[in-house]
Amino acid sequence: MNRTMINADAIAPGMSLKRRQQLLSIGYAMPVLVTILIFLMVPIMFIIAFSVMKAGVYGGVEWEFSLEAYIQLLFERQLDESLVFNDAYIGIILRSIKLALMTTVFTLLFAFPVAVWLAMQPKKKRNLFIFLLTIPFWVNILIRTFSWLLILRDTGLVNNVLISLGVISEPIRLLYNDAAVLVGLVYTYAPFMVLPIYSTLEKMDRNLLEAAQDLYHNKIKTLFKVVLPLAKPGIFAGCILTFVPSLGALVAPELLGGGKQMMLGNLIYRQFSEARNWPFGASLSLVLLVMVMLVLMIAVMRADRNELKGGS
Amino acid sequence: MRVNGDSAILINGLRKVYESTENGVVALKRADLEVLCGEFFTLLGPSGCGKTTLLRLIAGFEYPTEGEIHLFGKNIANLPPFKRPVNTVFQNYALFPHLTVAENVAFGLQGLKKAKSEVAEIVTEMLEMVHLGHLADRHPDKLSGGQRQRIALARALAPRPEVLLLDEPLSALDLKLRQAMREELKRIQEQTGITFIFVTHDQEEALAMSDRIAVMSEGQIQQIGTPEEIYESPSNQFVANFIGETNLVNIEVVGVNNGTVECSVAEGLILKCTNNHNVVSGDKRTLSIRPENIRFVDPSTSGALPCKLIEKTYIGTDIQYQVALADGVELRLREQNTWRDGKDRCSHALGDELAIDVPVGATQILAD
Repeated sequence: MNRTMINADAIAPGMSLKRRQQLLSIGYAMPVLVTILIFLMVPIMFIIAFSVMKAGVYGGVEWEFSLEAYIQLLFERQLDESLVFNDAYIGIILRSIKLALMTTVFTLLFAFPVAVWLAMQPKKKRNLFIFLLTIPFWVNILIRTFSWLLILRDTGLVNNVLISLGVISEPIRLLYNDAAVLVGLVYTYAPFMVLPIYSTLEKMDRNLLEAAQDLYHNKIKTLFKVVLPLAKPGIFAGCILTFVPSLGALVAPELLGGGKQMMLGNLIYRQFSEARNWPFGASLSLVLLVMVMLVLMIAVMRADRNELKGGS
Repeated sequence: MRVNGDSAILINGLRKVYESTENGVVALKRADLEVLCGEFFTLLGPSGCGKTTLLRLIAGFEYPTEGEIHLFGKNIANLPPFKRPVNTVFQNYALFPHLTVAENVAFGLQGLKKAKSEVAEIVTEMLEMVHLGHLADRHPDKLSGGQRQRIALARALAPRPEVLLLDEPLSALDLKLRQAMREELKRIQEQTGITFIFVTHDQEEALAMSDRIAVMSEGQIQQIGTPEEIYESPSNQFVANFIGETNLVNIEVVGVNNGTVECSVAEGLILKCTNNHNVVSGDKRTLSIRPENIRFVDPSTSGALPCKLIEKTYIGTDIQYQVALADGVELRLREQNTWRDGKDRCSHALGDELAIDVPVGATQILAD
């Protein structure tokens, strides 16, 4: 602290101490600010710029102002230049939201018991289990998702087992539908839900569980009246960490949805590759960005309210 | 209706071994104990003596390896905690941070599925009792340590337990508050008539508050008795040393007559004391002499023991002396630092040749 003041004095003599320190803290933040500016703000500026330009014939953009990309979101231009309402893209956006929400719910249902169980393990064992939980990250997501193809395909593990057990006589179609995409997404994002819930529960005072049982609450009631409310911040963080990336997911819908069950991520990807419509890809990206920002804003507002309330 | 004096808790051959660790740690070697209805009963001992284990066994957070716990005649040793009509005040209070003060106090009543109106009524009554009615809507993290302590007490008392267990509830408070809470606890215990089992390592706290005390060490109960019995007639060296201060002197019995024993401390140094352990000539025992029971006397008094003052410590209310007797035997004694008509309060100087008297009734032969 002392050093800060000496530096501040050298930089701007005559300024008030508070003002000087403010200036200095901005100085300290400069590397971060510059990094964010170059690697986050500039690309977003490009995307915004691309979205209001004309598509180049061979990809890329032509430097000419146009709102075509936004019009395309809702309307289809006929040969005679008239506009007809087209719900195909809206449909994909809604599907993406629906799938992302379902992913979040299923991931939560799967991850919460795991996190509770982890937090209840003896301290020495916990780190080992956390380590095991992160092992899938060592493998590329493409390969991890591809492995689900082997499990779910007609001649895959699930069908083979069911047939050999005599439960079914012919393979059932498990791939290339929403359920398959959902399985892939839940599998991919489960650790992002487990870890924040675990970290809130790990900090929880174990005496609270004893106190609840001492006060005539059995284990199930204790779970709902004490553990669940105390895990809320972790659940909330986990839901954000699951919902946001699954909204823009690319690999799972591409591989497990067979490209037909498209999500927003696939649509955007296609505009920059096969469709060669960069402005439309850019406008779709902005739609995704706005949706994510909305979710995060709700999160921040909620956190502020909690702070005001003085709750945990 | 429970009647005071009934057996509230009866513990038979209770034993607890923690198997999870290698070899198993014996937390409680064997406990036999009876706590009476309406009693303020204290488990006193240093940390690791098994007092908390015993309390947790009664609460149901641990299950015994062996033995029985009877609550008003019913064996509860293997019931889960939520089926035992006993409640606990935790050392760190363990208040639910996501609930308000009122919701915390209501928690146990809701667990018992009491009607809403009844819950509200009891919560108000409990908060009144601990003088914190005005804090009902606060969250626990906004309260001071003393306030949290009272809420924890109100929460544990709200379901009207048969027995209230208190695990070092005052240890986290500062000295002044601790003393105030002692009186408050005692008042609430008398007001509610609920049996309290209180765990502490603070002997002063135990002596001041308890009807009876069980002194524990190394997983065993060493002595059970009223504060007077524990202090005046400690049954063994551990109790004598742990409760208050004492001089422990090794002696050999040299003569027994009419309930009085003559004990040889050193060559030519004989102390007389009452024969409370039926010792006979030739027995080697340990004698406990409380420092405050030894007096300086005029050297010409009969039975006076000559000594030399080797250390003097001023500790405010008292002055503490260390004197050397024959053969290097040293004793500590205390004199109250009272106003004695203008006389110098610490007139004895280091190196003075003085004499002390150890009254017959003031010494205690300890069991082996």
